[in-house]
This record gives sequence, structure tokens and C-alpha cells, in this order.
Amino acid sequence: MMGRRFALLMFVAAAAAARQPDGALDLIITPNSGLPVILTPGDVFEADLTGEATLTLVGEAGALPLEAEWTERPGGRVQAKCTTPDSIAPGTYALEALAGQKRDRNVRAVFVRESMPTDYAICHITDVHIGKEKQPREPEDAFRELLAAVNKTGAAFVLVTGDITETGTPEQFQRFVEILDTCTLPTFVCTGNHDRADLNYERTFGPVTYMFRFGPDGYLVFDTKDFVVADELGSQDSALQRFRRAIKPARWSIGVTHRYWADMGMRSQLTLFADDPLDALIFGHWHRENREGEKRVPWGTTPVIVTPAAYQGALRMIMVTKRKIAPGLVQFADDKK
Amino acid sequence: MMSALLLIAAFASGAGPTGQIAYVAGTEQEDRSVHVLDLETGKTTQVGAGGRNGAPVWSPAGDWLVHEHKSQEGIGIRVVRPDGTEGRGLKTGQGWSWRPRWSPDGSKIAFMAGKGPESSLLATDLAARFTLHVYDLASNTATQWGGECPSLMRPIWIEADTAVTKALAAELKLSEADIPLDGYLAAIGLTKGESRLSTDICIVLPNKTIPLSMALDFFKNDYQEWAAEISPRGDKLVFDSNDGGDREVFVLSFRHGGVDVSNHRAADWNPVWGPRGRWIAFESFRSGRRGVYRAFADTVRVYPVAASERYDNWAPVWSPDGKWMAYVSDRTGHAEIFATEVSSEKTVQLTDGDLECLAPAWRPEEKE
Repeated sequence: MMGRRFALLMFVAAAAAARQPDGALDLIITPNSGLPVILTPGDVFEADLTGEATLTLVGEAGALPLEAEWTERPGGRVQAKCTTPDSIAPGTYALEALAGQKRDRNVRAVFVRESMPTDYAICHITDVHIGKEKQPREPEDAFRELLAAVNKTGAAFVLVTGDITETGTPEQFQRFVEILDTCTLPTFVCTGNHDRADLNYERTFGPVTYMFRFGPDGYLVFDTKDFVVADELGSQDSALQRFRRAIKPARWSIGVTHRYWADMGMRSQLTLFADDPLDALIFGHWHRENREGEKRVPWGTTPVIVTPAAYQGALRMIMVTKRKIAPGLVQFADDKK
Repeated sequence: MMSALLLIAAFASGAGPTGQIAYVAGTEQEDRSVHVLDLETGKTTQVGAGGRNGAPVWSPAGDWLVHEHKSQEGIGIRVVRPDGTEGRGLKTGQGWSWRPRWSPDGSKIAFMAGKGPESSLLATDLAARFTLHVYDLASNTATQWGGECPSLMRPIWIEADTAVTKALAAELKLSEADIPLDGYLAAIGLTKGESRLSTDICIVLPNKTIPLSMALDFFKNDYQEWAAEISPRGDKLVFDSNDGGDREVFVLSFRHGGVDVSNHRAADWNPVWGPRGRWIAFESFRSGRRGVYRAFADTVRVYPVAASERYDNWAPVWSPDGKWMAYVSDRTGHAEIFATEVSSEKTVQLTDGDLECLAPAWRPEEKE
């Protein structure tokens, strides 16, 4: 009883120490509420931090200390390889870090499942546009209502594919995060062209290009926020090639981004669609769904799934099974009232 | 200041790299600007303007730089002196103008043009999307090259009086009148194959485009090529292709045929000729991360220059004397420019600051 009260007290005290005052990530970079980990008891996950710390998973059942193996990474960062206890209960956990006097907490960072499914549904929403003016409904209200509908879908996780803000200000990112955290499902976020100001996306969610595994499948989330998309100068081409190869053994390799652009860097297109074509590409940006004749990336085999904007109230369920990746019809949050 | 200290230290411990290196620096694409670093003094001069600067390209004589920059239409082309003077945007008459390359005599700039962001997924749209143009610096006019052709991307120049030209003229049955005396272009053509887009390396003349697949069996396939470069002696073509299952670097000698010089199950790409055409630098993922390697074009032996399992190295460029290679590395946590002496593997850090430093280009030596 005493232990439980102590854990709950820790939970309450730690709530105030989540992220920096402007909403930027603090000691813990990943996992976070836009880039969580989903695992089963006993699984190992990696956390990226700005320094070594004592790590704890905090959930409804209390706080669980984590054993971590630390590795130095370039630029002064560190990576912790953490093994979750076999006895951990399924549920949603915050990851908490304590380094001296400094405490940090990323809510909705670790999701524990009893097991990984082979067939499952995911939910795709996109183009939230927090801060967009002159709309019939405030985008924040639309987003809140949409997430209430998402919470009832039973999806394994949610993809939020960019243009999460209108102009990429820290305030807009903060408001987005506050509403995002009303979602009870894991949420994987990526950046869009409206989110490119001043590296505020990176300060809020960390890496713009990443991969994750869910059950038998691999997901590659990549960045198309720049004016000249994937311009071959920076490091994204490296990440795309490495991640593409890493998820190649998966049952399905699914690309997740904000927009497909015919002018985007050829190296990225060759990696993702020609040399080793992704099995599907999920994106937004158009504020409409893809029409007849817009079924595949022009390189030939990668089918596309495009969903209208969240500020319009739209979401799409996608079934992922051993036979296929099957997009459902676009639904609107109003439909679920 | 830090670059100066690093270079002084390099010189103090023995000869370091010499000359000047142009590169882009910024926190993100919108504020990237071209800089020139003097390797002997460590002094850096910002020569770019307007943000969204692309990779700098030196003129053959090393007296000008050309680079992409933010323009009213989106992306334009700008020339500037290495000291930052005489900078001006070129009025190309096109929407997006990008990937500029100097002609062998420095009097013209080839570039590709497009209409700007296009969200179409139709293969027919993409296959007709990009055009090649040549800007004449004397008359300040741009002319479209290639005649009726598919999308053409990433132009490179080929000198008229080279072994490649002689071989191509014979294979493609070109007359002397077909080939401009001051050079012509090769480019990657986007073609619409039976079921999907593909590429073809093409010869691009002022009024026609000829895919190499029309003449050379090596290219009679549906593989996708990229990053083609002609050797300094004008006798070979290097490029990367997914012929063989993964991406490899190939060298094509018009006399002896094509050879896979990188030959590894990991991806190999972005080849760059050494100054004398004997060595090729390229990027490879054979160590798990992106690394810089060099291969002797004739023997396919591959040697690491900068490779690690923990960070990436990319964008190699040779010094004019072939003794050093500069490249980008994120070993410090973000992109900085380093140089490695090829024979000794001695490595020096050339840039050090908060900005991402990318796309190094080593200033050519003035030719006598």
C-alpha cells in the first residue's frame, strides 16, 4: 500500500516535469508521445537521451525501474537499451528519467501489449493544421473530436502524417501535443511542409525519419517537410537506405510520410520505390483522398493510401493482414456520433 | 575561428590539405548558404544569398561558383565569385531551375528545369516533366536542348574531342555537325517502361536526345541508373544502377564494356572520379552505415576512406592533386566537413560550429 502511494506520488510530482516549459523535449528524446514503442513483456527497447539517467516506467499499476545498458552516441547523446520485466502488465506507460536534480517524463511513450497480432487495423489521420484560421470549425476542436472517435476504433495504433500545425510555431506544437495526449492509442507522428519552421518539430518529437516494427511488419516514416523534398544533401538518404534494409525481412514494408512529390530527390525515390519498392505508401497533404488513376507511385508497384484532412474531420482505417494492406473507406468523426 | 585552429593544428603536425573548399551551411534548408573555406588560413567567407542554397559547383578555371538559390519561382540559379562579389541570379526564363553544371570551357551552364512542386502520380506526367537547358553567359540567354525527349535530369558535360565522343559518334552514327565543338551533354532520362517508370542514360544534343540503350547492349534493360559522371580523360562513364539486384557502381569503357566496381550486397552509389581518372570514390553501406570508399577503376579493389558502424560519411570530393578527399561526416552529432589524406588516412576536421555543413566542392587548380 505504502509502495503504491509512493509510486502514485511520484506520478503526480513527475507530471510537472514532462517536457520543457515551451513543450520541447527535455532529457528523454525518444520514445515520446509522437514516437512511442509498442512491445510485449520481456521485450527490449531503445531510448535516446541527452545524458545517462535512472529510468522508470510509470503506469496505472505503479512505477517499474528499468535496467539499462548505456551506449554513447555522436553529439553527446546516449542510448539506453532497456529490458522490460516479464511481469509487466499490459497498458500505457510514461518513461521517466532522473539525473541528479533533473527529472523528465514522456507520457504515452511505452505501450505494452499481451501479444503482437498478425492481423490488425491501424488508423490514419493527417493534416491537423493547429492554428489554421477561418475554418468552419477550430482545428483544435475538430482534432479533439476526431481523437475521441479514434479512441473507439480499436486500432492497434494511429498514424498522424504531418501538417500537424499551420505555421510550425512552438505554441501550435504545444497545443497539438496537449490534444494528442487525449488519445488512448499509440500515436506515430511525422512532419509536414507546414511544420518546417526553426526545427520546432524536431524539438517536439525528435527524429524526422525513423522506423518501427509492429508484429510481423515494418514501418518507415520519412520526412517531406522541406521546400525541395529529400534534396540529397543531408542525412535523410542515409537513414532511408538503412531503414529500408532493416525492415526488408518484414512481412510488409510500409512507408509513412506527409506527401509524395514527383520532384523529390531521386536518390530517395530510387531507394523507396525502384530498388526495393515499399509495399504501400500512406500519406496526406492533398486534403482529399486519392482518386482513380492515383493508385500507385509512378515507379510502378507501390500502392498509395491518401486520406483527407483531420481538420475536416476525416480518418481512415487500414486493415493489415497476411494477405494484403487494405484501406477502408474514409470516415468522418461526425459519422461516429 | 575554430576552423582556423583546426587547420593550423593540421599544418603544424605535417602538410594538410590546401586550396579552397566551397560548401553549404545552415540549420535547415531554408537558411542554407554557400560558404568558401580557405584551407591555408582557415578563413570562411559567406558567398551565398537568399537562403535555400544548393550544392556549389566550381567553374573549370575555379573563378566562379554556381549554385541553386531561393528565387521568386521557388528555385533559381546564381553565379558568384569565390570572394562573394559579382553575385547574380541568372534569368533562365524557367520555373524551377536546378542542378547546374559548367561547360568544359566555362562559358555555359547546363541545368534542368521543371514547373515546381507536382503532386501527380501519373507516370506519363513525370516522364514529361523535366527539361534541360543551356545558359550562355556571354549572351545571357537560355536555350532548351534535347529536342523531343523524355524528362531529362542531372546533366553532365562531355567534351567534343574525347574517346567517348568518338565511340559514341560511331555507335550512334552521329556526324561532326551533330556535336557542338564546345561540348554536349549526357543526362538521365526518365522513361515510361511497360508497367512503370525507368531511366536511361541519354546523350543530349541541342536538337535531339539519344538514349544509350539504342546503341549499347549494356543499357538494353529496365534497370534504373543514376549519378552518371564522365571520366576526366573522357574515356569512361561511371554511374550507379540496380542492375544485379541491389545498387552498384559500374564503370563503362566504350572499348571494353561495363564492370561492376563496387560489387557488394550492400548499396553502393554516388561515384566521383579522381582527378586523373584512375580512382573512383563512392558511398557504400557495406559497414552498416553510409561510408566513403575508393576503388581503382580497372581492378575493382575497394579501400575504405571514411567508414564507421556508428555514424555516416558521405559526399566525397577529391583534392585537385588527388592526395586528399573531403566529405561530410556526422560523427560529432551533426554534419561537418572532414578531409582524409588518402595514402596515410590522416583525417582533419575542416568545419566546426552549430551549422550543418554539406556538399563540399574543392576548387580546381588553374590550368596553365
